[in-house]
Formats: sequence, C-alpha cells, structure tokens
Amino acid sequence: MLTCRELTELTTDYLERRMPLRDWLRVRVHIAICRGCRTYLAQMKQTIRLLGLLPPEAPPPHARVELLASFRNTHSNTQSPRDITRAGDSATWAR
Amino acid sequence: MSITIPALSPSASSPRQDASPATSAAHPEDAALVGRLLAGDEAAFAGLVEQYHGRLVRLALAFVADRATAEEVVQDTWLAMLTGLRSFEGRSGLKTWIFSILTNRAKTRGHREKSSVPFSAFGDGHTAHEPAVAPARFTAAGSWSAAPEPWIDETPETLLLRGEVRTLIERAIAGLPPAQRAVLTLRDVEGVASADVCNILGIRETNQRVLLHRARSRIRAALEQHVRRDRC
Repeated sequence: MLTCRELTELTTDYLERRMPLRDWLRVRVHIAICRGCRTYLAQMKQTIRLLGLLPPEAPPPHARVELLASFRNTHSNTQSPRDITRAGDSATWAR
Repeated sequence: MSITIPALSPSASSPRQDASPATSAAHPEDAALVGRLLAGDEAAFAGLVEQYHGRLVRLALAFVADRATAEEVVQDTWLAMLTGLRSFEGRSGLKTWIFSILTNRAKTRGHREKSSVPFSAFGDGHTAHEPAVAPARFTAAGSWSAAPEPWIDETPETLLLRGEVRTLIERAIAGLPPAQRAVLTLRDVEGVASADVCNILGIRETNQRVLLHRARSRIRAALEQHVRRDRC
C-alpha cells in the first residue's frame, strides 16, 4: 500500500491528473482511509488557492509616466498624423 | 539596442492552426486590445501597464538578483512588446506572450550580470531529491508520526486578509531556488497553463511538475509552521 510519505510526493501529479489510473486509484484509496493525508491534501489545495490570490504591486508612478511617454513616441514615429504637424513645426522653428 | 521577441512555438499537444488569422479568434479579447494598442489608444496601454507591471516585476525577480534590475527588465519588456505588437500572432494569448518576452529578457540579463541568480541550475535535477515533507514527520514505515493539523476556519481569503500571511508567503517565494520560483509564479500565482509555462521557460512538462511540486511543498510547509506558531 501507498505510504503517507509516498503520498506527499505524489500530490502535484495527483492534482494535475498526470499519473496512471492505477496510481490515481491508490491515492484515492489512501486518502479515503487516512485523515493525516486528507488534511495534507487540503492544505496543498489551500496553498495553491492562496498563491492565486496574491495581489501584485501597483506600478510605481515614475514607471507609469515613462511608459506612457514611450507609448506616445512609438506612435508618433510610425503612423500618427500629429507627427507630421510636429515635424512641420520644428521645420518652422529651424528657420 | 536590439530587441528580440521570442517566437512562441505552439506546444506539441496543441496543434497549430495555420488557417487562423494574425490575431486568432482563440483570444478575441486580446485581438481587440491589440487593435486598440496599434491604433495608439493610450488608455488601453495604461490599463495594460496597471494590470501587468507589478506582475512582471514579480516574475522578473525569479531571474535577476535585485529589484532595480527587475524594474529595468520590465521597462525593456514593455518597449519590446510595443515594438513587436504588429507581429503578435495571438496563438498563445497576450498574457503568455508578454510573460515570454519578460522571461527572455530577464534570462539574458541574468546571464550577462554576475550578480544574477544561477538560472542555469534549471533542469539539472539538483532539487529532485528534496522531500516534500521533512522525513522526521514520518515513522520508519512511512506513516505520519506528526500528521498535519487542519487549518480550521482559515480559508485562504481570511488568511490573506492578515498582512503578515501575505508577507510570509512572499518571503517564502523569494526564498525558493530560481527555477522553482519561476514555475510557481507562473503556474500558481499567475495561473498560466502548464503547456504555456513549459514554452515560456523552455522546459519539459515533467521537469516543470517536479519544480512545481517542490515549490508548493515549501510554501505549504512555511504556512504550516506559521499557523502552528500562532496556536502556541
């Protein structure tokens, strides 16, 4: 029979359903009769859920500003009609 | 500065659909967003930065040694993304694409700098023998001698409301070996699918699963220790 120790090494394979049916059944049978392993598996699931809830940090304000400026640049360099006006302006200034 | 955009090859398990247009119908919301970005929609870009910047920094920290470098890598990633937007094919989804650009650049950066973490340890199996649970918790026969106790009335949400738990998990993640950290961050924190994580990191599925297992086991152990200390 599967030992508790072995089961703790199979939890990810089990949760990802990446194991032969035979092994999957062995895990099922084990957790049906072993409270410690039921608890262990529940904690693993809680851990995974918790990780998925970790909020990311907000972008620092300077990064926001710089990135928006880069975004504007990218666009004025490629396609924006405003770009043409601006080029015209600087040509006027140059004179 | 040369910018390389990683071409995300579709995984072997999901056959490529050559008939699909440039921005595939598989991710219609991505196609719409890319359209807005290409049209110069600043609000769309600002929204994307708001949504992803912190998450990109978090992922970058798996590859580079310090926060300042991570921030730089993320800035680079945004620029590379904007440059490569026209070639975005939509097969992998925008999120996976952005994460793969980040990973690519962070790895390059990591290799270049001496201060970087040794990411080449990836896949060398040096964590393969690390047990999920300390051997002392089991009898010689392999049964629990010190079985885990249920985390009663501690739903993930209530746990997370306690700031110290969040800090604890973040510290535990930061303490993971780089490869484990990258896999755990992508899979469990960001919810990226297994096949996409393998593509992004260039690792095999079995290797990914081993790394994920080690990482999850460590975080669970850290949480258990914390909950137990609380009870004493």
